[in-house]
Amino acid sequence: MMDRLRKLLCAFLLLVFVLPLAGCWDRRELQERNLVLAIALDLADEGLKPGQSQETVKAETFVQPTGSKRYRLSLQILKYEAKGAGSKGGGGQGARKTFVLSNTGESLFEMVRDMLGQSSRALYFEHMQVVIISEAVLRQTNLAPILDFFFRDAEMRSRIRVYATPGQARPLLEFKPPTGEPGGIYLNNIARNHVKNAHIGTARTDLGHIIQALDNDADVIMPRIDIQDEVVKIRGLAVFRRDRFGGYLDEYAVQGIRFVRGTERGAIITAPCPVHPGEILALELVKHETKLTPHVAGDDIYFTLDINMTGNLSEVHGAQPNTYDYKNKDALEQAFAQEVLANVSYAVRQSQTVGCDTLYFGSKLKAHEPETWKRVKERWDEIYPAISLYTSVNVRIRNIGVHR
Amino acid sequence: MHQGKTLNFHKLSTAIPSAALAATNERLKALRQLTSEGAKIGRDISRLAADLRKVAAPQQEPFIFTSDLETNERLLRSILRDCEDVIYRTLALKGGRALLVYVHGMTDEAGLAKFVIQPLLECSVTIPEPGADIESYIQQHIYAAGIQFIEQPSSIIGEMMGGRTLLLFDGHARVALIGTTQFAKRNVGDSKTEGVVRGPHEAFNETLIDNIALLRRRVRDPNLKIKILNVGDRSGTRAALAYVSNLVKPGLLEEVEKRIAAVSTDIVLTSFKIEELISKHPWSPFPQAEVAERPDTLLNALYGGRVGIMVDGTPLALVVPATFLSMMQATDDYTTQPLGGMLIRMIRYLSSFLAVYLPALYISVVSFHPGMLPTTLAISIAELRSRTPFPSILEAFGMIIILEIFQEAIIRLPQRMVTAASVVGGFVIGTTVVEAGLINPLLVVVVAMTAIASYTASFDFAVGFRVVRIFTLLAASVLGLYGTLLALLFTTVHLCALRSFGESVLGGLFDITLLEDWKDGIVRVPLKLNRTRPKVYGPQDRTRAGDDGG
Repeated sequence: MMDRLRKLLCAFLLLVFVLPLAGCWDRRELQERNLVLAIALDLADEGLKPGQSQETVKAETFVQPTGSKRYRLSLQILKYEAKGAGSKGGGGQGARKTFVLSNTGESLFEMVRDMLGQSSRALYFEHMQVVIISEAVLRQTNLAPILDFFFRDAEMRSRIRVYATPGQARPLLEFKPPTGEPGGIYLNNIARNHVKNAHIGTARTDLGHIIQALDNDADVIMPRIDIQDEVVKIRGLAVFRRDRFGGYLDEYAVQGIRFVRGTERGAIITAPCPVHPGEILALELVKHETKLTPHVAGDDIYFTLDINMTGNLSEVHGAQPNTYDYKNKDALEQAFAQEVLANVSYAVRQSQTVGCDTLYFGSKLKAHEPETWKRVKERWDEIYPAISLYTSVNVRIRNIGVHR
Repeated sequence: MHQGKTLNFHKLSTAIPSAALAATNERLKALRQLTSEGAKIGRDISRLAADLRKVAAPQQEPFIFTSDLETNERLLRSILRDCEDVIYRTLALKGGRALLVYVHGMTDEAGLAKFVIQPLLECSVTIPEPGADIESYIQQHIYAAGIQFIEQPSSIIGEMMGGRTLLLFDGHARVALIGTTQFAKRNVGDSKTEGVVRGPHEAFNETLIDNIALLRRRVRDPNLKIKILNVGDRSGTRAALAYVSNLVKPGLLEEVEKRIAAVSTDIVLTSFKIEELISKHPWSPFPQAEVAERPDTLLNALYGGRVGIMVDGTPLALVVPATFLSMMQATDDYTTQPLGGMLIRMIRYLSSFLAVYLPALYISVVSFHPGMLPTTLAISIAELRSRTPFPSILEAFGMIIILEIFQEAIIRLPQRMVTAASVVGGFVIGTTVVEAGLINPLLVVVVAMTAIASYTASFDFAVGFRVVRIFTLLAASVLGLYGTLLALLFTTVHLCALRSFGESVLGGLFDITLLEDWKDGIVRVPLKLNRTRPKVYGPQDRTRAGDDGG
């Protein structure tokens, strides 16, 4: 009996001793947390609310012993609309679902914590959707120190979208989506359509991928987002040499990059019609296989690229080419292949001009030719812009449309 | 005291008023009367004792039947004094008298008159001389079917109290027991707790003999054995062990018999009392014997090599050993297509999980780990919850208490009131509580889901779920998901350690040597692919086929 009691006591104590090992288990009700949906980072004297005076800016911030007021950090926070059986009616239609808090300082974490002085509830980042960094900030600082806070903090998720914007970042937080969704969620979701839209370079560019790129000492790319009045659009890419901002690539270059990387499904390729010059044809890609192979011949490094595409003829302008004729079909396929070839070489040229390895030449070389990579690693920045790429494209038209 | 002090004497009654002479006389008279009455009772008792002592009864027995009918009747009357439902009927026969003793209401009196009294009265044969063979006389002249001769007087009295008729003859100490039992009972009806869609509907009733007949009617196998035991030191309740002699696991029957023999209690009115007294873990919230209300469920278990315990007076037979898998099975699994049966069985497993862990998971996610929710869901939950004043733990406990109150009330209520209670409970409380913003609608859904899910398991098991649910919820409310997992571990370990007649309740599921039992456990494969009995119960013959003569 005593023995049993002792055993039970031991088991109980073991359980109790385990409790402090559990780590992060703070109980805080969901509605007692303020969900931060988006963060915008501007320079300290930018990103003001329209009509905001310097007095207000001063009121928002705090006294800082070290560092300077370099950045202005804005948080987009979800506003709860009490739903329930009691409150009916569509009052929430026009209402802004989010509000924005701002602060100025140098340490991002310090600014965030100081903002608790403006918030009735604890700030909670696990549902954060996007981080938007203004071009001005990117031109002033490297990317790694800005994003370091997001890498280290436990509440940040890897699937957060990171955008660069040429203007100020805060207006994007004030943007009111026409769908009535909270702004941050809208900004995240428009990046998800990249599968069907080859113009959006958002594949493999979220926070996790950026961390990966920085850890591997590779070049970072991130989608660019623009706001003009009530129009918000993702267009093109911001590219970096390592983490140093290098400029933007346009949509056409993005499409070319994605042809090389094979990250899209269902791109639309437009080409001039070979049968009726002056008209335009469009092809919807169905299947797309890419093989990028590095070759080393002595000191010369070059890459070959094989692209196999299958698509449906989806749009014909003007006079219809007779696609029952094999000669015509071959000509059409040739035209599209030419277009893809042109697109790829445009993308490669643009990337090499900026000096950003958007095509993963470096990692391919590292994987396939590790010895060579070791030799050229130090000089990669000089070698990369001069590397030549030999592309062969094969396009097959599978469906020509029902009626023709 | 002596030194110059005056001693004053008073009547005692001035100090103690109750010591007055008149009052004392009164009370003395009452006392005398009591004593004389006591003496009378004492005389009665000693006379009774003397009556009984006149006959040299053996040890352990209250008396012994003599060959003198007068004495026998006096003995019976003294033992059965104040049992006014016992009827004594004297018959004047050729060559002597006979006495019938039976309990009114337990005996088929018409049958008694027709098959016992009439042939005896019309009999022209003289009763045999004292010392001669009375048994053959009785066997020759009584039409009634069941006649038995028992030596032990106490058993004879017991049988008579159970509805048989005693027949005594003048000059003979031999007593015949005539089977004329008939009493008010419920007919065989539909199953109340184990409903099926496509199976047979007959269920056990409260009468042991009927229940045994229900079993026999379904199988004509002489290997199906029924062993009758008596349990309850005062009630003498009859219990039957049912088993298939060439299938049951060796040693299991002996173990069951041993445990039932060790049961020491005064009366047994429900089979659960037996279940509780023969199970080894009384503090476990989970049942350690399976309950079968239907003869087909019981037979299925018996032909798996298990032992059934039927108790007179309860329509629920017990089956041991019981495992988690066996308790999660239902007849409908076998009366539908195998794929459909598998689906409903899987649903049952899922709902048993939900019944225990859903509220705890809800609390953990909402109060501790909202990062695990998809963002849009988190937002809608937060918006729902932003109106409610209580922390979600209080809310959840409140809801679960309300739920338990509803369940309890609806079980206790008379049938006619149930609708009213449901309306008050469901609409008035449920809707208003949500509309007033005391509890958020999502939690109502969670708790309702939990309740509904727990109804898919058998009632016994569902009660265990309710206990574990509250325990898990407590753990979750303190430690979040970590607590939920601790509770899950704790419950799993407990269920594995819990043994029902040697078989671990849950452990068989994780035992690699019992993997083939999954064929009719987790899943249900078509019968053509599963021609063996479950291994876990250790049947003597694992092939589901005829007896191969062994």
